[in-house]
Amino acid sequence: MSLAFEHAQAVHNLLADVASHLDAEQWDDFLTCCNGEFQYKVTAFSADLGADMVWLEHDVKELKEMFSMIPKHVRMRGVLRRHVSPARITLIDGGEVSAASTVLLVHTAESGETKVIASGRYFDRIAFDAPDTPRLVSRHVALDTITWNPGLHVPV
Amino acid sequence: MSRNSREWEAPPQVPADHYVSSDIYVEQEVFDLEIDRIFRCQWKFACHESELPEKGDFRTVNHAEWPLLIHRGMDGVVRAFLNVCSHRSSLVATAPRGNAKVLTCFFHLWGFDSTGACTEITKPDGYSQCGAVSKGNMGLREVKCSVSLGMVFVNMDDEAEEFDAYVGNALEQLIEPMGTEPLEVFHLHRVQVNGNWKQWQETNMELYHEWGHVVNRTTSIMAKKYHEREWSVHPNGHGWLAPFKVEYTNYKGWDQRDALTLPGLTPGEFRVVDLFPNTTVIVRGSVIRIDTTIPVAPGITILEQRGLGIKGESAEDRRTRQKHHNQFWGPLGRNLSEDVIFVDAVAQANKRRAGLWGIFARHENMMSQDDEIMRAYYRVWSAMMGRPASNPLGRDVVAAMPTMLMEGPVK
Repeated sequence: MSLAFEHAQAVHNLLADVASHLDAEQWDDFLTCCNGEFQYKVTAFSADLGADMVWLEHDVKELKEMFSMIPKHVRMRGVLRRHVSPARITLIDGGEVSAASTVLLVHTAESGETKVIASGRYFDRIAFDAPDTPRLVSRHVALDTITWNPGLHVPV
Repeated sequence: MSRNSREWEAPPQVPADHYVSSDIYVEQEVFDLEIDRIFRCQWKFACHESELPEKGDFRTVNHAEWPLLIHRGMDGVVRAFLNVCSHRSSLVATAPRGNAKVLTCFFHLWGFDSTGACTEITKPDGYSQCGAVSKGNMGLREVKCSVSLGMVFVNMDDEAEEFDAYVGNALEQLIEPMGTEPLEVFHLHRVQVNGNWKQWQETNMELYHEWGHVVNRTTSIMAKKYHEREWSVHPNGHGWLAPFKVEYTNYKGWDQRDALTLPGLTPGEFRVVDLFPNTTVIVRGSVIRIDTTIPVAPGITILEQRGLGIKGESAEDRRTRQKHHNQFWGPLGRNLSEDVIFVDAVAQANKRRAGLWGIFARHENMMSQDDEIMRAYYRVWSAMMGRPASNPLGRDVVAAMPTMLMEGPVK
């Protein structure tokens, strides 16, 4: 079974919208891209330990609580951009789609100085809630970076 | 009322051990002296023994600007060596971790056994005219090493006092939570802090700054008995705080930590032990954090932070413990990342001496936010350095204006 062009296009647009909403810190808009069972997880591989570490694991309720507290926290000032590669998308069982892409998290300070602060991969699962509306079912961010910058308090 | 330059540059009108000069954070001369007089002669946390679980396992770390190799020998004993081959001074091990029955330098394949003895010189007959270059006298340079409550400490000074004497009773609070069941490091991340290494240690001792963290304000400062905990100070500069219960549910969306309580603790119990010069162990009911720093330059520090749980626990328990760890201390957590920003803000002001002084003048009968822990730390620092932290370069300081002197010392 292959994915219809319109569906493939919708998946790519969804992934672009997710990155755009996260960059703009439009948390409600980000959550509209996710279905109610959405699971978000960040891991990083430690060469020191020879193992993967879990850095964050949240469902929708936990994400909402996290987002609601962000304004109360001390944060690194400036703008974060997620530079996401074109995703390799694959139709999997149950009509869901898996999407794999690479991501660079880039910070630009208010002074204009830009730094790459993290490198990793997105592994997404996407389902079609309505016939033509894809939503994220899960996102696994697998980071290569373990030397981390000051506080993000936001999803990668 | 604002102050003019003379008033700004005058030392704070408090006793000399109640403030430090920003020179201790930014001056290369001070940093170089710290490497010689503190880091090359004091005990320093290197790693946790769970990072070397099997015979032959090794870890490589940096300490006092030197590469070290920590190795669990074939006899099960953990030893430390300079990670430097005795032949051409190449690194012996180049990976952060590995396993080797024989430590073989990858450059010319010289080999060393678990005790650091040289056991292999490639084509040794080439040295037949130089008797000094032989297996018998080309061993690795061993470094003093001690394992306490699973933590591996090293000391570069062969003549240093033994670890137990150095640390005294500072680890007593950790004996039950860290010494009852085998622990395991499940988290290790680093942060490049754009500030001085002592600034990071201050974040673990000067608890007055907890007002700046929303998570500490709500779960700790607003909790009962937060201000009733007393600091204990060891003559070697270590310090520890009496335990208390953190109210995790005060932070939106968080559960109380009633499960997975570590041995010897009550649910949600908090303990902290600061070891001079730059290691802190913090226990939060179900999870332990060890952090230490690697000074790179006066204004650059690598923070290394480990999270520990019970070795061999179920996947479900580990998941819960990781969650507890990450809420406060994870790279995407609510607390630690803010400290990095605080340190950076101070470092920016100190860099070119716009900021001149750090004041540690709070007196609260040795309770949580009393600065005596900081004063004690800097008294030890000053004694080791042979220079006061209030004026380490012997600068001619600007005298205070008469009006300021008339106001008298801060009480």
